[in-house]
Amino acid sequence: MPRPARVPSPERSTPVALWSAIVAASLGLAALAAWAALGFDRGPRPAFLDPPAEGGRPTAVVPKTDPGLLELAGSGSNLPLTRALAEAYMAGRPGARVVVHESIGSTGGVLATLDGLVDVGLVSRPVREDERARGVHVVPYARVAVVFAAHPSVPDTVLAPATVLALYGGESTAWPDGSAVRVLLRESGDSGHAAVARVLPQFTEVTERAYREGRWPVLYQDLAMQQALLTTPGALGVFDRGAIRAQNLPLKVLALAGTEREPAKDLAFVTAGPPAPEAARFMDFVASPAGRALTERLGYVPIGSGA
Amino acid sequence: MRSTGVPAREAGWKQVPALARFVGARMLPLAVFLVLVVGSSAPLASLVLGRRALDERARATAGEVAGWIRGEVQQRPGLWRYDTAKVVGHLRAYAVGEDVDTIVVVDDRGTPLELGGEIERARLLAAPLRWAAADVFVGAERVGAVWVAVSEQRIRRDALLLLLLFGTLGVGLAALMFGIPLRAAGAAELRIRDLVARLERSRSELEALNRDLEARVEARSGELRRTYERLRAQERHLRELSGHALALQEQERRSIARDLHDSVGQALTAIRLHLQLIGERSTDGELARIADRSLRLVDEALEEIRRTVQNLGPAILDDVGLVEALRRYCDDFAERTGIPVHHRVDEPAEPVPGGIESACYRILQEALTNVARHAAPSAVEVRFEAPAERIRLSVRDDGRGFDPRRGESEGHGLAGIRERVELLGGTLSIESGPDAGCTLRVELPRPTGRVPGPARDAGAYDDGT
Repeated sequence: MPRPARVPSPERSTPVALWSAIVAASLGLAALAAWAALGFDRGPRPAFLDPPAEGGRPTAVVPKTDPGLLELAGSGSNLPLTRALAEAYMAGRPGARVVVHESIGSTGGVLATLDGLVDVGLVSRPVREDERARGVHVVPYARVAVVFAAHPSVPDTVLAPATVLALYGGESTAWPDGSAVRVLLRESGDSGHAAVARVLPQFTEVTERAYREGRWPVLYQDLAMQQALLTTPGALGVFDRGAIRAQNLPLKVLALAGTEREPAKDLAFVTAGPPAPEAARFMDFVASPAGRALTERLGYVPIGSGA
Repeated sequence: MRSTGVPAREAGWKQVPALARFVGARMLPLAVFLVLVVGSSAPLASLVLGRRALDERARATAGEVAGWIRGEVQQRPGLWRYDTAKVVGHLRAYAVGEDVDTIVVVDDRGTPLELGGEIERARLLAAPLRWAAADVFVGAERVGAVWVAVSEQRIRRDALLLLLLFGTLGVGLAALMFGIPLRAAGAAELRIRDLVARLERSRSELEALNRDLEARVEARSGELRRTYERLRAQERHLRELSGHALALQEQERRSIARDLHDSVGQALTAIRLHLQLIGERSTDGELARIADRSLRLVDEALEEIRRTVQNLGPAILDDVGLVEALRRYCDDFAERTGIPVHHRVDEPAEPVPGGIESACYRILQEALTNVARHAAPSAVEVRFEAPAERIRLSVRDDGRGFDPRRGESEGHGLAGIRERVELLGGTLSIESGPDAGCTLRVELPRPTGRVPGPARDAGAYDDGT
């Protein structure tokens, strides 16, 4: 009997070529996925992530070279009073040279002092323990009231705590005359905000939420806040009463009603260790009756050893 | 036995219809690839696009911070570095998007201006960060740079979520893509098998029907064949009967002719001789005239008897036989008409029945008479042969010829020849044309057996006597 012709069975004809193509495509896909997942295109990496060179990181700070010049720098809250005091100091001592730089913040003032770039740092917040541990010497010299300052167009004169929270929280967006409220924030950790928070604890939460939501503009310096308050109708912000009085600024101060005490912050000099003679002479002047009188006259409360 | 060593899964696969296995073997890699493509394309696209967005965000943030730093440097040369910490710290905490991990400001030497302490190098190295930088220029002097790190954690998380979703979707689609054709192929194969089975049944039924039909046709054909054979036999019988009748008729005519010739003719001849003697010896004139008139009447009667005998049957057949009779007639025709006749008359292999002899003789007579009347040939050729089965006679002339389709209807004597031939079951063919002469062929069958009935009793059909 003749053997029947062998017919190729469909199930035996394995699609090798198809499997090969699929495997090749899958490998390509896997390579692409690995490239994408592992982030091989992460881009440039900054050099400061490399291990530090032997002997430590070289500093870019150039210490001051004019020993006869007394240089002060720090928080913007200190500037109006300190500049007035420096002018009075130089006026009474021919040859004395004192420079008060623009605001670099309390932290900047401390570090610039520690770096030796300035002689005296100006702080408007309590000095931290880590700063004290680096040998910072603190000399408080004034206390300033922290107020809610507003553009002169704002009709209100008093703010209740609930109103403050409603304004900063965005629930209240118009003044009684219908004009728009434009709240101006300082950056987180600002000494003025911290002073308000000490008497109105909910203020911290409200400002945190405002930061996260980006509801109001944030200003990083006292000078910027001052200019914004002066030029923005309906503007409201935390400011120093002493700065307003010392500079005769046409801003409206809104009294905070219903709190046990008025928000305030202490202003202090910091030095890297005991103050140098020139710095000590200046501090002595500030603590002198003349200096204290000037401080008081400008709207600040003299504090410190002379008080 | 394969089943003992085949794993359960393979055994299950073997139970799947062949077409479904064939489709499944080709759909499976495509399904796998579909899972990979669908599952990975969206996460990959999300990762790539997310990284682009992150890079763009990092560059934008770096540029924004660099712009702010530039203003600070311009306001406080030398001291600007101490004021960046609070700004950068605030920006890190609030003012940048959730993907911005850190902002580092470096001076012109690349040293970070971290005012709060050392940067978290180990964390930054370990974290999935992407960096972008913007230089800070004051005039033409590069005073520093801003580095912004964005985290890939969110887009990786999103990509993983997409991988889960689209992987599930891909598996579902692949299952559909794999399952639907597989089920369709299985169903199609079952239907095909059912169709094939039905076709097989139909074919079997058709074959049975065909066999039955063939049997019926065979039976019918056999019946028709038998009927045909019976008709052929009847026809043959009728032909033989007619031939026998013709033979009997011919025999009877010859008998009558012989009787006329032998008895009446002899008697009249004797009477003539007597009358002739009476006329010669009578002295009486009146008697002599009566004898002479009687003699003329006897001559007329003899002539009439001779013509009658001639018409009743060619006596020459009885006298000299068919072959010699045909030859003599050819010679007589040539002598009488002046037309040369070339004849070839063969001796028959077997004796020719008397009816056929007469028919052959009369056909030759008729044919040559036609030639003499119509053809005006220069010569005539006659051929006779009588082998065992057939008797053939042909007459060919080179005369003017005629149209065979009109020959019989125009009285060429052909109708009588055809009638005579058909009575004997033979065939007649005429080949002629204008100026093409004419060839007449007659083919007569020999009788196959004795004819029952009167013909058998006569016996003259076979022996011609």
